[in-house]
Amino acid sequence: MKTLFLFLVPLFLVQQIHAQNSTGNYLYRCNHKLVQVVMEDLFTPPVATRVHVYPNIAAYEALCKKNKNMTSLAGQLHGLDKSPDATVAVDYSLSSCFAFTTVAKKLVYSEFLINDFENEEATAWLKINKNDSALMKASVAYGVTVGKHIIGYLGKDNYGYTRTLSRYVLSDSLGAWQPTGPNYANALEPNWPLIRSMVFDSSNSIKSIPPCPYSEEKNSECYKNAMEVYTQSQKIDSTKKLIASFWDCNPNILRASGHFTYFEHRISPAGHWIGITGEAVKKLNLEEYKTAQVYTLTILAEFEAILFCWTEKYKYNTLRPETYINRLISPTWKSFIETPPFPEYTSGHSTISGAASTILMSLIPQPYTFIDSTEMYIGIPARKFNSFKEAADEASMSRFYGGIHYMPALDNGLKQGREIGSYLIKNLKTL
Amino acid sequence: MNKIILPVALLLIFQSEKIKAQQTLFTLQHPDSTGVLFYNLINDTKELNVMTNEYYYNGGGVAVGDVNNDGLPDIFFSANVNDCKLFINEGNLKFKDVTEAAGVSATGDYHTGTVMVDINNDGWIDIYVCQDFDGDPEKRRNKLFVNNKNGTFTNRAKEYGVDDAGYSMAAYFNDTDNDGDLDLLVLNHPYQIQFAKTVHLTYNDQGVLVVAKDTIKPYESDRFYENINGKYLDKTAEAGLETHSFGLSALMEDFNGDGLTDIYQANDYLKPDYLFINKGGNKFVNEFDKFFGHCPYFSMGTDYADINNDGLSDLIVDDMLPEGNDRQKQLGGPNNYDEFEKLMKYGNGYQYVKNVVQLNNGNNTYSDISYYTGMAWSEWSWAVLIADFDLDGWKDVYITNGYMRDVTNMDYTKYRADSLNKELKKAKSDSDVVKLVSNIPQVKVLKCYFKNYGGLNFKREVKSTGLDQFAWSFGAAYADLDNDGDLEIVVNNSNDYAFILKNNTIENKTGASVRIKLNGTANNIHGIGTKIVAETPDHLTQTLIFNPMKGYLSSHDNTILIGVGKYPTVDLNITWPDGKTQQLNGVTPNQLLTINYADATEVTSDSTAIAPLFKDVTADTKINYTHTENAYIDFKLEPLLPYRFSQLGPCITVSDFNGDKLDDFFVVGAKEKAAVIFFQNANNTFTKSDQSVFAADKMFEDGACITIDFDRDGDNDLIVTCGGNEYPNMELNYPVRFYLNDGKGNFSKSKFSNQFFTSANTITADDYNKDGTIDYFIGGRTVPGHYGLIPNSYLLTIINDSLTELQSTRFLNKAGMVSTALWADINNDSWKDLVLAGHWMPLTIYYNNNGILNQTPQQLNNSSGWWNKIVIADIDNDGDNDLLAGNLGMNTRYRGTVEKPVTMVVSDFDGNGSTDCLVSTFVKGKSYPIAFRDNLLDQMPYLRKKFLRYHQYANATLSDIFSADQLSKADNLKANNMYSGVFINDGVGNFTQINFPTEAQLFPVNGIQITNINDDTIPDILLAGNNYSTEVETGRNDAGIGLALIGRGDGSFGSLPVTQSGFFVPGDVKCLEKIIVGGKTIFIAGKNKGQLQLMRRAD
Repeated sequence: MKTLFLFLVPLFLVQQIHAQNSTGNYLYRCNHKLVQVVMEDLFTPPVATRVHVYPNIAAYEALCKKNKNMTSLAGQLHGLDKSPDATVAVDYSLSSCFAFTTVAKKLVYSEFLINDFENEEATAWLKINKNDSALMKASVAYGVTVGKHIIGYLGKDNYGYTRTLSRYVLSDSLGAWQPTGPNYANALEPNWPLIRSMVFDSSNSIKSIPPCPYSEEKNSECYKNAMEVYTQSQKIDSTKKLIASFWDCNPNILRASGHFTYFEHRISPAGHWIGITGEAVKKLNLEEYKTAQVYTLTILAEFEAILFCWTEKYKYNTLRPETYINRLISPTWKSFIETPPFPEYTSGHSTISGAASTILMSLIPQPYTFIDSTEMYIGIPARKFNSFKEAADEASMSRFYGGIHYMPALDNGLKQGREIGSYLIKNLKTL
Repeated sequence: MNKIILPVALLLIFQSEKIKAQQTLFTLQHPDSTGVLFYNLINDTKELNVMTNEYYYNGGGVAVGDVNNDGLPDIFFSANVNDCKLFINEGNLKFKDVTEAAGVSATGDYHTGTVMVDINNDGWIDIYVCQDFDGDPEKRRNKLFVNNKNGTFTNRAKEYGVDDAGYSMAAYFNDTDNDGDLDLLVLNHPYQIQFAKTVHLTYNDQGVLVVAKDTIKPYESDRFYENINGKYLDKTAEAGLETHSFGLSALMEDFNGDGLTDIYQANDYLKPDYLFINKGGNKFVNEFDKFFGHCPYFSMGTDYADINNDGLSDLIVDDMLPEGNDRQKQLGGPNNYDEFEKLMKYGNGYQYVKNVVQLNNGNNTYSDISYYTGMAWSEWSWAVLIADFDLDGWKDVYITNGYMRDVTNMDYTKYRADSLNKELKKAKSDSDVVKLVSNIPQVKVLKCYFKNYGGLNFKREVKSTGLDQFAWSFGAAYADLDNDGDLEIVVNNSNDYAFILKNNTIENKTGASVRIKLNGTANNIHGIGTKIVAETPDHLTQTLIFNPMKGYLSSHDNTILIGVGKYPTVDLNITWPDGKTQQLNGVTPNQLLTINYADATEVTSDSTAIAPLFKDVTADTKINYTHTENAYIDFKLEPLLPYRFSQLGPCITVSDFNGDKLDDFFVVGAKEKAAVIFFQNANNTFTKSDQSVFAADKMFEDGACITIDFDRDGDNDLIVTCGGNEYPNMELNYPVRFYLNDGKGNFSKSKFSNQFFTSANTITADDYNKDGTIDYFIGGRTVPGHYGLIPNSYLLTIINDSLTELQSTRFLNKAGMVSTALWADINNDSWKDLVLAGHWMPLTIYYNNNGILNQTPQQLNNSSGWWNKIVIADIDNDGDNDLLAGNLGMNTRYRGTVEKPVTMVVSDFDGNGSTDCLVSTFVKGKSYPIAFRDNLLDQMPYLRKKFLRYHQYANATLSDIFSADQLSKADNLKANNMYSGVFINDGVGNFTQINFPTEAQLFPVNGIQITNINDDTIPDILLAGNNYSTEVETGRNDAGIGLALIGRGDGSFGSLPVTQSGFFVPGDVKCLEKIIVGGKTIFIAGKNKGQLQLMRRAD
């Protein structure tokens, strides 16, 4: 098991884990570990946001017991009750770490990877804390208690129910989404819109913007949008190609060559922004409360963004540019990056990037420039950005360069994502 | 090119042979003893390894023939990267490597298939070698080593026009234009493996998405060469044989018995197999779909020979389905249903990852019986050899298999390959590559041998036959290497020494043979295409068509062996390709017979074809009605279903609806399709009637229908149930409906409708309690969306003008998953009993005690099956009712027996509100769930944590998956009898089961009619069936083509070949009904997504 683990973890991440050992970075290490495990377990983008969000909420809820300036999310998120208080003296920092891992283990498949991580953390803590194993046990136990509280919370988010529903059934109607090559995979997570939102309901929902109606007329908006994608693909330059690849973030690519097929283990859009958040946390050496706030709100924004976006996707069930262009413009045209298997409108990456960047712009002191090296593990060089907003704009445009979205899906997705981010910043009391 | 470095210690598999009194059928000869030191060495390099091009691992061929005319067959091996080798047979299984002197090494090129052929008919055999892979076309030119008659050979491929520069796999010589000389087919394939799994789609003129026409590229298409005066001319385009597919083997044989050589091409990957029918004049047209129901997904090797001694050659094509539960669960996953549908939609046909054994029906159709014969899987398979190895008169089957890396291992492809592939891209040297590729799992697999016991009974016998070698084996050929009268096998292995498998039949005195050498015509001196029919005194007739170029990349010896068992003589009839024949009677075994074409005589065929008994009269009746089915994919909600319940229609009921004393009939509709009535006209034709009352109910998927006068006004009314699976958790969408007839055949809905609800496929009516009112039994088939739960059945009656279920009969509510029911007096007490059968339930009889049904039924012992249909008749003429019962049959993966039942556990294991059902079957003596890991986890996501990887699930049994507590709370269902047959009644309800003959066990029987076929006094029967809506891993049951069975009077039946009966009813037949038209009995077959077919006895 150990060898398998080493085999899969990108080397630079391992080094980072051991480079820092101050308590403030528990959540940094927790989140990095979780990103790797999510990759290993091949979670789809929507499910990945769910796997990421609840552990951070658990860590936040444990930590806010330590700092009276931190406001619990209980009562602020739909259905979340107060966590039990600790009954003995504990190190809340360590507790928050174990609250995180307890929930993470519930959600991932490869629990053993998290177990290994817990052992490492516990060993390191004992070293710093003079082998105070009684305190460690109490802290871990409290972390597990908070974790179990959150596990109870996530158990009611309809995820289990959505597993009992029908898988996606193809529609014959003309403008409807169709599977795309090379794998013609089933549409992912058609029932995701039934997942409980933690922030939004009918009273405060983000406004849905319908896509243009399907048309094959040459002067229709639909045709023009597709033509725009097609024209762009004919003159794409190396920078745009690089951008498309940098933000590809498709965790579900199946490569096939003859009898031999294999799955690429890639970071998801949510994971990419967790990476960006982590780099900021590290670079600015944020203290633990701020760290918890930044991670929790960013990832919560991503979770809500995907939930909203997926609702749009299956409400409008729009076909991908590849299908449209093959049908009406060029029968052999292929998108530059692989077209992912779910409806086009709106763009998940745009929505998630809009939401995450808005949180980060608000919580991280500006101006902030950064180098994003998240994709180096697959050999794509790091990119420099002058702001989170700039990165989000580029992430969004990358879907157009990649040929997998029409422009309105990016514009509207980004806009709606930013609205989600702003709403969270405005309405959730944290620190 | 690396020279072979022979390992010092030879492999353990070549263990020295202990002398035993009775030896196994074969013994592997030590290469040191035979001198056949041929070792097909495959080294991974930076440029060529399994990750860059997997065809690099596809192995080499074997050609056997007497190249030096000393009476002993010699052996030529094609090596992939090293030198090819020629071994001269010096007798007693001693060989000498003469490669260098002969000049046939073909050094420096990459070789694939090889055949021996006398290209110039000079009496000296030549060698043809195919070449592949090299980027330089000149280095890919196939070689023809022409025999210089002095132990040396010269490559004269160019001179003969056969120096094909394509990416060649294999070559086949046969006469396609009946001009007496041999033409040539060369199988080529695209170089880029990424074409393998891509469907290129495009829009046609009408804007419809269709498969793009293949781009035919030089070097990638098959090539067909016509022999014109000894020279070969490329006529590929004219012949219609341009291809863009990965053909791994082909057969040049006559598949439709018209005297012209056709071409079957086995295609790897997405492309379905081709059957190019020879239209004469060297024009070919692919007519695969007319002849076959489906093919292997990844077709590899092929052979064509008569396995059941009915005079017709049968086809075997092998695939790569692993053997045993453990490897099936780890290698390759389930097919994605949408992908499967897509393949069908875009013309890639029905393809399943398994071998096919296509039994020749004699009417230009074939039925796959791979599950019945147990030959559906044989690992990643290559050569298939059909020959009578034990000389008992029945041809056996030997299959070579293995692939040097398990690239389809799911743990590897899902969790290891990604990082490995990244590292491979960075690899700097060959040794880096070797190191990295060694991370891919590697398993040597056991060869397969199926002994033929006659009557389509084959048994996998590997150890007892001495064929239990573990190796990666590819091309193979048979030949009597020691001239003792039995067939040795030569196998080309990768990274192992070639096998010489000595046959011990003659030494063991367990069989004998006649050896035949054909001395043919000037341009086909070995008589390729000659048919030999051998009849032994027990009237066992063997048929063999001489064609040495079969199997995989290889060719067999020219000496033909006919096994004669223990008989002292055999009669031989030889028919040469041009039709001339000769008859040799009383031939004694243990001799080599030379048969000369010169002695053959012209015969005028005096056999007048006997007209078949039945004929198709669909067109005569003017009924042109095709059943349409709504697209509901049950698997989307229930990934573990064994088959779809939404495709069980149509049901038909026959009656006079309009009072003109002529039989009409009613056909139910699928969801979104209204039921229809066909009224019979005076001139024996029919007119369709659409009625608004049925249109109003078209949202229902109709299930069963019956005709009965339920309002007692003297006309025939209708009762229709809802069937199917389309409305999960919506019970109200399954009403039982009653339709009133106004006497003229116009229907309206009765108030009795919509009072009882269940998904039912059977309904039966009778006044069982003789109270003057009719009683209706409605048998529930399934709980929509919750397969495995027992649906509701009802016994209803009309009391005081209201439809009522009596409290006293509610014990029938949970009678089972009923599919067929009838009222019949079983115990001769003049009271009709209720007979039920269904899936996962035994044949069940509720006895009628003076009008009251026994609450405890009789359940026939060991009769739990997947029953579809029961009818009653006094089959043995002893005065009581016997049962005729149609079941799943035995040509399936779900072969339940008393010792090895098919079982299903049913429960909501994860408590999420969906019903989880898991079917298990026995594999090698142990019961395992049939579901692949992905499907299991799709249904029960919580199990993901238990089975993080495929290998963890690979050996899991139910008790590894579920806790004892979970299992104790689950329902356990079982099926232990899948045979269709007769249950003979002794008059007091004791039954004896007599199975229908083998031919009736090859398909699910859905329709049974009793009739008299041969005009004697004994009842005969007609059967029809199939099931096209199975899950996509097992593949559809399409072997049924209708079957006529002749009664023998004692309850047993003999089957009539379709060539004699004419009762050809193919398709997804769901019911078979009887109707009188113009005084004659006509049989109507209702087919799912098929046209109504009407058959009657010919005059």
